[in-house]
Amino acid sequence: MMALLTVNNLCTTFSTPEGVVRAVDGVSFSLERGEALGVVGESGSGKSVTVMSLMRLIATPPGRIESGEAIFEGRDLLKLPEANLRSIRGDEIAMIFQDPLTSLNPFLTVKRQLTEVLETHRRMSPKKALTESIHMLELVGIPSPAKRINDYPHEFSGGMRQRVMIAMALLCRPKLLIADEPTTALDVTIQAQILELIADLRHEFGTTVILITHNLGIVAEVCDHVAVMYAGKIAEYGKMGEIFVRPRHPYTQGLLRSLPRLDEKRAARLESIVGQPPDLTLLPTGCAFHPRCEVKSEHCLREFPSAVRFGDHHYAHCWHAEDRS
Amino acid sequence: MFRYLLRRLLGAFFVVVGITTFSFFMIRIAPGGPFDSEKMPPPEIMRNLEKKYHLDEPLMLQYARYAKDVLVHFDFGPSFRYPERSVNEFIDLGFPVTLRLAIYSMIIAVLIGISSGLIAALYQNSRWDYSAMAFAMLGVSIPDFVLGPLFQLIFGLKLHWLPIAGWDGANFYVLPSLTLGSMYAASIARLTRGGMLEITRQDFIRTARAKGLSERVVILRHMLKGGLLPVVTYLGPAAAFMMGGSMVVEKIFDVPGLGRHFVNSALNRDYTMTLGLTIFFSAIIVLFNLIVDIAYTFLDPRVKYE
Repeated sequence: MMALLTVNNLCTTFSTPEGVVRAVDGVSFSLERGEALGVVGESGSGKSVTVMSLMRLIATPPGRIESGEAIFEGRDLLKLPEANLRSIRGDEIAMIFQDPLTSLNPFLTVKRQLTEVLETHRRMSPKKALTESIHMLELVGIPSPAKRINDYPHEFSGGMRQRVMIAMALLCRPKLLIADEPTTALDVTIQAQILELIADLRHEFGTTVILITHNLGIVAEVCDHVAVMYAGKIAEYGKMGEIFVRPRHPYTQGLLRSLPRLDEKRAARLESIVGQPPDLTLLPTGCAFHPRCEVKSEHCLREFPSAVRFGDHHYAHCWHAEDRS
Repeated sequence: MFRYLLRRLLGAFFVVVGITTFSFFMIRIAPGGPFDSEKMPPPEIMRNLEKKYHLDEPLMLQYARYAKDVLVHFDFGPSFRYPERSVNEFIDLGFPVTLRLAIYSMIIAVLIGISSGLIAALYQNSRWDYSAMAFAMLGVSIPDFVLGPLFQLIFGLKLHWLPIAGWDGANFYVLPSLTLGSMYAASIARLTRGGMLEITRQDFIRTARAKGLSERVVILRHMLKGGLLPVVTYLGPAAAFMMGGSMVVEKIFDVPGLGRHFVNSALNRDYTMTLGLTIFFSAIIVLFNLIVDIAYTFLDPRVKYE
C-alpha cells in the first residue's frame, strides 16, 4: 500500500543573529494510512519545526525550507503552489496546537472560527456549516453545543478550549491530523481526557495522526510508531513496542530511564540525562549527542552515524547501537 | 454595563470639578489682570469694573459663585474682554467650526494613517514599508506651524489651487484639515503598523493559516480587529486634542474657531474665557476617553465592565 505521507531529507534553517541554525537537518520518515506516529524530543530538537515545514507554516524569513520533499498522496507539499496547498490545509491535513488559549482567535466567536472552515473547504451555506459545527462540538464532548458555539474562546475552560480546537481540526474529516503538543498546556487529568478523545476519534474516523510531544507516556497511550528526535535529526525510529522494550540509541535509553516507574521502590532517585540540550548554533561535531553520551567513542566525534537497522521498521543512528540492547 | 457607565460619568464629573478648581486658582496666580493695559484706567473706573465682575470680593467667594454657575447652570459667565458677549456665545459660535475642522482632519488622518500603516505592515521591510514609515516620521516631526505655511506657499501662492486662509466653503477646509490631520495620520500609521505586526506574530494567525483560509480572510477577519485596537485607544484622546489643540492651525489659516480665542484669552487674562474654554475642552477629553473605553467592549470581547 502506498504511504499517506513520505518525507525525504527535510532541512529547515533559521537565520539568527548568531548565524544560520539548522533546526531540521535531514529528517526522513514515512507514514502509513491509519498510523499514529509519535515524535518525541527535548525543546529545540526540531519536532515542531518538522511539522510546521510540512504545512509550510514557517515564518519566512527568518525560516527557510532548504531542501527535501514531502509527498502527500502523490503531491509534494513543499513544492505545491500556495493556492493548492491552502486547499489541503485544514481540509486534508489539519493541525491542533499546544496552547488553545492563544491558538484560538480571541476576537471571534467559536461559531465564526468553526463555520469558516466548512465554508472555505466545503462551500457550505452558513446554516449548514453551523449545524455541522454544532454536531462536531457535540462529538468532542462539549455540553450544550448549540448554546456554547456563540461564546468566545475565553469563556471556555482550558480543556474545553482544546476540545474546540480538536473539533475545528476534524470538521473536514482530515486524512492527516497533526497534533503539536496538544496537552502540554493542560493539567494532568484534562490531559488524559484529551488524549483519550484523540485516540477515540482517530479510530472512529480512521485518521492518520502525527503527535508531537516531549512526554513518552503520552506516546505510549496514543501512538504505534515513535520517532525520537535530537538536534534536528531523527535519532531512533521504530514501532512503539520495540522502542519501549529494546531502545537502541543511548538517548532513547536515557529518556526511558528518566520516566518515573510505578513498579520501583519509592525511594529510587529519578534518573536524568546528564548535560543540556545542545545549542543549535554551536553543534558538536559528528553525533550531536556525544557530549552527553555514556558509550561514545572517538568515531562519534568525527562522523554522524549512519542508520543501523533492526528489522523492517526499527533503526537508530548510533555507532554503538548494535553493542547495546 | 449601566452601573459602570454611571460610575464613569460620576468620575468624569469630579475630574471636571477638579479641573475647574485648579484652573480657577491657577489663572488668578498669574500676574496681571483682565483690565490691565499700557494706560491704566482711572482707579474709580477700575473699582467699578471690579465691582461689576465681583473681583473685589474674597477669592473663595468668587470661586464658589463661579463653580455654582458653571457646574449647575453651565454658565461660563461674561467675557471680560468683550463685555457684551458671554463665553457661552463664543463657544456656540466657535465650536461648530472647530468641530468641523476636527472631523475633516480626523477623516484624513484615519484614511491616510490606517491605509499606509496596513500597507507597511503587510509588506514589512519592503520599499512600501520604508516609504510609508519615512513619511510617517516626517509627519510626526514637522510641526504644524511649519507644515501650514508650507501648504499655503505651495498650494495657495504657487499653484493657486486653494485659498490660503479663511473659512468660506469646501475648498477653504482642505489645507487646514490636511495640516491638522497629517500629524495624526503619521501617528495612526505607526500604530496601525505596530498593531498589525504584533497580531501577525500571534498563534491564532498561524491557526487561521493552518485552516487553509485565504490570505484575504486571514487579514480582514482575523487580523484587523485586534490589529487596530491600539489605533482606537489613540483615537479618543486624539479627537479631543484635535478640537482643543487646533489653535495653531486656526491661527495660521484664520479659521474662526475656538482655538484662537483660547490663546488670546490667556494672553489677555480674560479669566472667564480661559477658564470656560479650559473646562469645556477638558470635559470633551474626558468624554472621548469614556467613549473609547466603551468602544473597547465592542471590539475586544475579553473586556467587560461590571
